[in-house]
Amino acid sequence: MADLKITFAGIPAPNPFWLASAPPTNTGEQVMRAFDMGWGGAVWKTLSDPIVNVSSRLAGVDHGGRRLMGMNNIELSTDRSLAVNFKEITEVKRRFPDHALVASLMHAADREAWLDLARRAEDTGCDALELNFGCPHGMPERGMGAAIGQVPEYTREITEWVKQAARLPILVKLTPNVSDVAYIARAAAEGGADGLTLINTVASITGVDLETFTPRPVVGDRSSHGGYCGPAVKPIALYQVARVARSGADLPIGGIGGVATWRDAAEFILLGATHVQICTAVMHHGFRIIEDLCDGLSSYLDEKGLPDVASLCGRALPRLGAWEELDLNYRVVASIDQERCIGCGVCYPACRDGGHQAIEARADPEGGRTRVEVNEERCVGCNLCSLICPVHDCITMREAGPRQPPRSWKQVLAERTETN
Amino acid sequence: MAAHEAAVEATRCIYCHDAPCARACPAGIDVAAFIRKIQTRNLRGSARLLLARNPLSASCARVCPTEDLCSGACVLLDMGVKPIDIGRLQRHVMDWAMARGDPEIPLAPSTGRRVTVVGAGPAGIACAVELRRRGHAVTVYDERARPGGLGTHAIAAHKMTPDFAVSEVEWLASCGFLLHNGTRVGEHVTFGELEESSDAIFIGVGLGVPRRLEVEGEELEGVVDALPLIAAHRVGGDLPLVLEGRRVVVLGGGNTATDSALLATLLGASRVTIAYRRSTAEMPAYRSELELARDRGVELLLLHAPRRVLGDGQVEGLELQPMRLGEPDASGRRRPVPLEEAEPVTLDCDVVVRALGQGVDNKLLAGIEGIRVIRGRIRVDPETGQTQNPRYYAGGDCVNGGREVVHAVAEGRRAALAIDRMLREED
Repeated sequence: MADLKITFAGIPAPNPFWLASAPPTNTGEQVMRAFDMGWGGAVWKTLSDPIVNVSSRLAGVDHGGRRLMGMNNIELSTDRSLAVNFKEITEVKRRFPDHALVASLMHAADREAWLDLARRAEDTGCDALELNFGCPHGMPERGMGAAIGQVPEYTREITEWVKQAARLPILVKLTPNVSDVAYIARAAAEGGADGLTLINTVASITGVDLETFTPRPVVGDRSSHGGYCGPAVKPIALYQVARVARSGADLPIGGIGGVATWRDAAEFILLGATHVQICTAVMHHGFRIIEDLCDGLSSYLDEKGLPDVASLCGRALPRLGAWEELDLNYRVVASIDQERCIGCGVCYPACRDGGHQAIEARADPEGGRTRVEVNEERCVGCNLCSLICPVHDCITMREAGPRQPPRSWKQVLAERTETN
Repeated sequence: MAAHEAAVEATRCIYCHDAPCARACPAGIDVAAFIRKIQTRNLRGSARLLLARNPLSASCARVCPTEDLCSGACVLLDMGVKPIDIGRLQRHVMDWAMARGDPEIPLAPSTGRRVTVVGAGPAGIACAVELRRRGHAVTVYDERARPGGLGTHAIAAHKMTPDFAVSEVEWLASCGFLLHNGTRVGEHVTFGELEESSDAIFIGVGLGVPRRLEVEGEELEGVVDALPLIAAHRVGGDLPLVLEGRRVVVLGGGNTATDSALLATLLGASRVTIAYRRSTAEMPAYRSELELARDRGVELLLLHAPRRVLGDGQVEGLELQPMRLGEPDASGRRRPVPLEEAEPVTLDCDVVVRALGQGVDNKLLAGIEGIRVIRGRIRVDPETGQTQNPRYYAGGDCVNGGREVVHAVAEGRRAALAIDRMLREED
């Protein structure tokens, strides 16, 4: 079995599956139970000046009858006293010395307060400090979280304050609620961060109750925007992780956002993450998902002939680039397996109305199934029909004609410049 | 079906283009569209869409053999997945709509034209609703005390209660047709009077006269017709005879045969046999109903035709002639002919139920010029439901010989559309 041990920003951990700073890491009892079940690390529920939380706090987005495609949260940082939290962190670290235990910190732009918080956190014996510059709800209004992480200069300066005073590695948790996360990543690196974790939640409103006109989640007769997480945000997180991996910040990355399975984790790692942090999947299914996370990833590494997680890290990045580098001569067309086709015809209106009018549908005069066929001349190879076809492997994309020498938009532009 | 359960079932529908379920629906309901509206929780729109094509959507949700119609055509079957439960989804919508109150049938401005509908069964009611929708005044006559036709008086209780069928008609009547129950045309009011007071007449009287065996012993005590048996059980009257502990033979191959066989098992018959003179392939009964009957222990005796009812005052047995299939007859099904060399078989039994189909009541229509009844059915133009008398239209069992509620609805509506066209062309 492949070795799942990792080292992230100098912090060793038995595996790359860490609990993100969130409700599952609210108490020592939870974190110790998670470690007992096999989790590799945990980032403690964010410590700040104690706040008061509201009821209710969460709202879900279901899709196709499945629960929690996405979830948003208006819960803030810990609502327990800092002293209790520090005591519990100390106890957890004493009992689990080999697990990664990170304290997440948040404060407004007050240097003395940050340094005091950092010192007290370091005294617990934890492995690193994660600066929460990402929380998009409730805290930015108080000058915290995303209020800092949305401004490169604030990010750099506050990272610097803490880094200069601290002994431990400093991780900066980034918000996706920015126009380009690369600027913030570079600013954190300039401030001295040892690692970056992202994404924090996406500012969101999950929905509105159509009877009462109240957005969700409801607190009395009002609501407030929250932070979106869960499977729905994974594509956003994958992009931002890859963006940071190529931002020039040159720091190890912890991938967060919609990780629920080992497959999700492998994707984050392939795009440059060293470890992943998980919250929503645990809130949905409990800590028990760790068994398959480890088992699945380890089997996958074995199948790929890779000895450890580090060997997988960033392996997809060379295959990700600018659009202008893509081969304009690569051409695929849709191919319908008539043996598998059930005649539902859903590809027909999709291609007609939302594609390139390349699918023809013929009703059977005998009253049988509708027959759909691809007009290869019209098909641009967009994938749409293969994405919506309800039958597995019925519509596939295959290369059309002999492959021409590759030619990118970059080359086209270069040729134009030459001819001018 | 709870609202959430319905919404989840609705999300399983893949919203086919030119959906096979819709093509399989005799009433032409756009099934995928009404299901999508459940998914978006637009039940009001869903009900409106259902009622526009099938005013008796609530009945049909209960009695339609969906496995043989819409759900049987569902493409999910080809994926090896359970087909969408279209009947239950439709019932979910219609239960919601009926509980809400007003069926919200939009009415065109009054045309001043008047149409009479004879028969308050599914065909007549569907015709009446569609005519009201198009702005015509409609009066419906029915000889029975309660409306609903066979929906009230003949459909097996395991599918729909009589009270429900009646309540559906009363609910639909809020669109403004006048309903005269207990009024027999030809007795309380004549066709001549109706012709004077109306611009068109729709005949949806169903079938009246049960076919007989025409064999020796048919008059013995214990030989009964299927429909009165089912009707008595439904509307709470006395059964013509006791079935509990008796050996019952049902003769016929249609849905009335399976319904009465099922009823006999429910009422505790000790042994129930359906005897049919052709093979299962020629049986008009729906496969799903036949399977249900077999699951309940009903036995099938195929390729046997009744020869003689045995007994002395009271049925003691039935003598049957083994048959074979010959050339196709007028219905396109292979004709049963006696298997010459075979000896007759005797089945010991106490009750013989005739479920052989019925013919239209000739006496009722005798006085109307141009109406032709051939082999017990009124002849109509298959596109319009118009009879040879241009003022008269017909539909339902009296035209099709006895099919499902949904066929009657489709034929009632077909006639309403044609009547509307005719009246507008006259204007």
